[in-house]
Amino acid sequence: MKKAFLISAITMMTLSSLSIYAAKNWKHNCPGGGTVYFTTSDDTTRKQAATIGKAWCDNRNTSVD
Amino acid sequence: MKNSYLVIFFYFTFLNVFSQNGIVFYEFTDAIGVGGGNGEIYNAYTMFTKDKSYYVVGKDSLENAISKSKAKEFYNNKDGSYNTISSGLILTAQGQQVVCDYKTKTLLCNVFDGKHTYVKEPLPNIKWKITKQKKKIGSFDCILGTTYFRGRKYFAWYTPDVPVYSGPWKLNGLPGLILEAYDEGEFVKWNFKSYKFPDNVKQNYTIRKDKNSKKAIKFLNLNDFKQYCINKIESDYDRLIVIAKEHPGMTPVKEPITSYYLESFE
Repeated sequence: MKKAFLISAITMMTLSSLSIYAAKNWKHNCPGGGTVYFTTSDDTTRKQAATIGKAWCDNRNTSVD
Repeated sequence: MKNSYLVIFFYFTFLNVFSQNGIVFYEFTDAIGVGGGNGEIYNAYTMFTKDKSYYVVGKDSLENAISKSKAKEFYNNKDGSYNTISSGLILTAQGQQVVCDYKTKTLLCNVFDGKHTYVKEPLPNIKWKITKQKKKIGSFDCILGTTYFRGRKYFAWYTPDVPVYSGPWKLNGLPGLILEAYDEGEFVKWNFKSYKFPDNVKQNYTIRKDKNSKKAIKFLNLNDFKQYCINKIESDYDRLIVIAKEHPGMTPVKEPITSYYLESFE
């Protein structure tokens, strides 16, 4: 029982560290200038990341400094 | 008597050569934050005399339909660990400029990160290490100089055949015109395209502002500009946190200054 618990704990730790490595790093350039960086899960598509980046660009454009 | 004529002849030839304008065209690769030389490619140029230089990139009139169409929507670095989503070339009417005055030892520039910010600073005294490495660029014999400057290690190939201190961006002070330069990791890169010397067209070495703006240019000093960059990165990051709340699984990242700007100030 103790052994099984230990194995499952190690497996969980390995998986969680793997999920960090599987993250995708993104840099998004806005059309009007400005850059933003973020990470997403590995299964994020380019289109999905572009949507996130665009949301930031649009939010910035509508914000008042 | 013959000797005097010869001396006068050489004196005027010397004056003539060094009072003339020249222009060098570069291809600038912006892979800031990603590296590996994978990024948008812009046309840039530096015009120069013995005493002054004017560099510009990201200027609307320098790009055409072909160069704009070359910009890709997506880049990644060599090991595929970083992905860039690009919205094409970032262009403005005046572009991003650097004006060096070697007599008054001043430098004026503007940086575009969504808006233009103008900076005035003492001409940076870049300490170059001149190596024994040589190569030919076009018809010029070039020598490699290296330096650390504002957060990056630069490699610059200069030609003593054109004895001016100029080069691309703020890279200056080598005993010859810089024809090619890049940093370690190729986050930024300037490749030689073409060259004209002497260039008889009268050149304008003043920094340009937005034609629609009636206000005089307000210049920040280097310390204020550094603070501006830090604040901008901070406020952009705060806005990204807001976006993250609407997109579960996305984690905002705050990178060092060199991932946003060409120079850092640490």
